Amino acid sequence: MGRVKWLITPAGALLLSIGIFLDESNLLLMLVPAVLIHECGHILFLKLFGYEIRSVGIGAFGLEIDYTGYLEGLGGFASIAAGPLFGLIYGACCQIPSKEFWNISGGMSIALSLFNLLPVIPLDGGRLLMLIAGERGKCISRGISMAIFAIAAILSVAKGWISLLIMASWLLIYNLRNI
Amino acid sequence: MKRKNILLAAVIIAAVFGFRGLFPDTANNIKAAIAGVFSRDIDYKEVFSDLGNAVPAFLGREEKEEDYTEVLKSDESFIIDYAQSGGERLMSEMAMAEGEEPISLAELPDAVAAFLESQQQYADLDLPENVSYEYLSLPFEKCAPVAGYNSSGFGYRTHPIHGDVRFHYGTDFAAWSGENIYAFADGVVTHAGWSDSYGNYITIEHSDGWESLYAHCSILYVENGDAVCAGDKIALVGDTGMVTGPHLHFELSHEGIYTNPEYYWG
Repeated sequence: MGRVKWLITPAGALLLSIGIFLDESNLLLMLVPAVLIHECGHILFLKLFGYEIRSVGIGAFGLEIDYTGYLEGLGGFASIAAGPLFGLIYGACCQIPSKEFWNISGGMSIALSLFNLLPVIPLDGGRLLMLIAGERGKCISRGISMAIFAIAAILSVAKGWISLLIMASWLLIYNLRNI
Repeated sequence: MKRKNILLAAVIIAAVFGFRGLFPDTANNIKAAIAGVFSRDIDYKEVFSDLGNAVPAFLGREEKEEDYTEVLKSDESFIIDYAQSGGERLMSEMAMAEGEEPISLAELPDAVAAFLESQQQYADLDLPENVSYEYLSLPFEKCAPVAGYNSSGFGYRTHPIHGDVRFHYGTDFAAWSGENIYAFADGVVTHAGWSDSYGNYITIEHSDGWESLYAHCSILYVENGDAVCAGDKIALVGDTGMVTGPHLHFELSHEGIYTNPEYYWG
């Protein structure tokens, strides 16, 4: 894969440690291959289309790839879409052996890919939106992240779905920080 | 990347795991509390499993069979013989112990009568060898192991979708992840550890040949050899092992013969 620098920020370390600490069903372990395959999808196609990868880091909001250049055209589209695509393929292949570990890891990968396809910057879907809609994509994406948050807030009050609210808040903050 | 950042990251990781090492009880309580919050709304493990199982359907094939191995793996001898027994009725098997007069259904405790009636539809099937539907009264005080409701009972069960019949050697009690599990009665812990199918589980030996088992726990609070009293907190509800949702799988046996826990609580 060539020389790609892997990093971790303090915030990322904290999140990772808490995750490992809380995890008792090995969910985190099942997540690792899913995330790796997703990122490898991005990295592979970025390199294919001539983008240079400076580093991959575990930050406060997840894995972030630092690349040189501007995502545009077929190369940009393919590099963004490759992540979720690889994730979905992995998720499907995981169902072949009838083992609980892979079944859940595959399911997590599918969930991760679908979530990433939400048209909210800076998720993959948001980046695709920017590619297609340009600057207007920022407004659309901001609107969508707020709408998701509003829905999650209503559901959390009505049904007590707290974890959904936490995820929606994470998404909103992530979005606001990146526009 | 700055050396300072790497150092800070290392310090944070060390701090979190150091805390867990130095204060395991507090750490476990915090962990259970947070896990409880998260499992109260959405069972993520099940959502991910369902997503995976939906792949064949999405690709145009038959949807994958739901994983029922929790039932199968609850005992080594999970191969069930469907031999026709020639109409041996469950009630007479229970009552004809040592040539006694058959007990009429009306004399049995409510739970026993209800259970036997529900199993009538499987009257043609032999009971597995190490199982008895006989009602024996307990020689000791008991305590309900968990605050939960019976989600899947002891005995023969028909798979709701596929229609095949399997035997369940214990009773499942649905409960929130992180709920307390208490010892059923006084006894000694004979096993506290891990198995691939039971997950984190405990077995306790009581007096007069009785034994109880508590499976799929998230955290165990006792060790092999510990003496416990009825009502002592021994573990927390979890979803470890071959399951898709948090619950307590509880088994009760007398001298190696599995009996129906619901006779005594449910």
